[in-house]
Amino acid sequence: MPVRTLLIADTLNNAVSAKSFELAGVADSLSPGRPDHAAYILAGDDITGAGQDLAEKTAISAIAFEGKMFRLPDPEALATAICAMPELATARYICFLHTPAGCHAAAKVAAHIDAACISGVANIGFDDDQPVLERSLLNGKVSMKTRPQTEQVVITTMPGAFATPEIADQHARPRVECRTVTVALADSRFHPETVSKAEETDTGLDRASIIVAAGRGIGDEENLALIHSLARTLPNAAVAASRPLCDLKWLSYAHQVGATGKTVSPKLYIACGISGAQQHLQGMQDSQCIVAVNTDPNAAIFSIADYCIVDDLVRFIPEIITAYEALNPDLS
Amino acid sequence: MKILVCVKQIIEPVGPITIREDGKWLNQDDALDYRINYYDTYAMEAAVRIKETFSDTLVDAVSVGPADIEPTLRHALALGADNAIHIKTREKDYLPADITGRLIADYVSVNPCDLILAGVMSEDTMQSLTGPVAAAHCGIPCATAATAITVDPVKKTADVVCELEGGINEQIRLGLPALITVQSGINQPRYASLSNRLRAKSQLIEVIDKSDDAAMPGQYQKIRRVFVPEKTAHGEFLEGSSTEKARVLVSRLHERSIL
Repeated sequence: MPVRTLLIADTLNNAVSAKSFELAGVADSLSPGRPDHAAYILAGDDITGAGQDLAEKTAISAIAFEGKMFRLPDPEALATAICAMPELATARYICFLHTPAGCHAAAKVAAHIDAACISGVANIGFDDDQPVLERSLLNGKVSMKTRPQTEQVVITTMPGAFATPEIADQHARPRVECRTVTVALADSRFHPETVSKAEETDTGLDRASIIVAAGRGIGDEENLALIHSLARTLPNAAVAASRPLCDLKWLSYAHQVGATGKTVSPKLYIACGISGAQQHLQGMQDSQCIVAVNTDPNAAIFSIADYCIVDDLVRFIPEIITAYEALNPDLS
Repeated sequence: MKILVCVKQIIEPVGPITIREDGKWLNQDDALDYRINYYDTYAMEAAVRIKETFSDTLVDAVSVGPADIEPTLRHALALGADNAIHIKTREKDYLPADITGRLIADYVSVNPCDLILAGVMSEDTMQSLTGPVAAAHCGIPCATAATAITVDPVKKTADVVCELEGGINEQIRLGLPALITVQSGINQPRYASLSNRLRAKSQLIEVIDKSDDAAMPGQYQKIRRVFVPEKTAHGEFLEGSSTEKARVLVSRLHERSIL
């Protein structure tokens, strides 16, 4: 049986990202109960060991692309290597994770085989044996089901949307194959040089049991004082922000929660003036209790909140502080 | 140096969204507003800053869509684009990046440029694909989610810092021509100057007509259904005055031993 589904794992420094294991769930949606219909692809300069581990944990065979050009993430070289592999001709689905680099490589592979490229897929169904892919629009306010019009399809899948399935056959011995890749780089005009971690300033977000988060909806920079004041009132609380607020430089990126920032799961997350962009939700949806305060009753954040307050922050935040202090009179 | 900036007019919901009778798109009513994509304003600003450093730079803005996207191209002119190009489609509904990316690549094949900039994604359809699809079809390298761009027009290179996940950055050198998708926060987009706004009002926009189906790339996907997802909200909407809501909230959290 030729491989039907190619799953492209996300790797950095020869380690596979945790989200890459979710691709096994994508394969299971495409061919339920048939991990042997899928194969992982992973790239690095010393990646076979990581491939072995990935294969054992998912019961899906793995093809490890090894080469110097994969020392640093290189979506261009990865796509070129995928385009050159014989398995691509018979693969029906080529699946990447929905990250900028995943979308980049996906688009390049799709262009090569002239296939539909559908990103941010959150659910996969079938209708007359044809795949129907579901993705979200307008920050989750609308969903669409779309049917690819090409035989082969390249997709990127939303993190968190597909759970890694249990391994049904404990005796499965998935194959791991190492392929040395020497993509012709002479004419490449894409040269990764270094990878570095952004400077960390301690925001206390990792330790906080309560997080008060501010979004663009707080309106004015001076209203940040209210956010800080609430965080100071509540025990073991820290201040977080959505990306647009950091873009305005009202708070540093160290405070950013979401896809490109921190992932947090405090006891209580109070989202103030945050609309609920998916990129933000990815970073905080596992919080134990979510309170959302927003003037827009249709804000997407309300779909995941435990307590929803449609109100103006400038009015409401001082009221929470008062109510909390009334509950704990010795604090005020 | 010639820079092309891809801009998109996005849908901004300002009221409850309803679905068109055929179930294939949204009702284009008062619930929807339209404006330039947030991420594209950073791409425009990045282009204008390159032009300020290298004065013989030309910045063109291109957008794909039906007749009513003109205000977004005028906005791009006001932000500092020298010329605006409208690749006009008939489609008023969902335009997948498979199509927009190919149309932009077709344009570039007859109007070459040194650098193409685009927002990392659009706020409404969030595909993150238009830039990469265009680059792939142009056969040029692509860097995504850039948080810093330094161009050297003599060496024909661009040094780009790309944002990976989890606070990791990758430094990449691109040979030009190349395409870069721009992450928000790379700069602080300026307000349009009065002189640019006046110029933008009357400047001629070049229109490339693709409103005939035969002029469009093939169809890569077909919408089956668009719907407002059922509210999975298990949440409680608190009622009353601000004071009442705050009291109820604090006591609920107290009952659950959260506060």
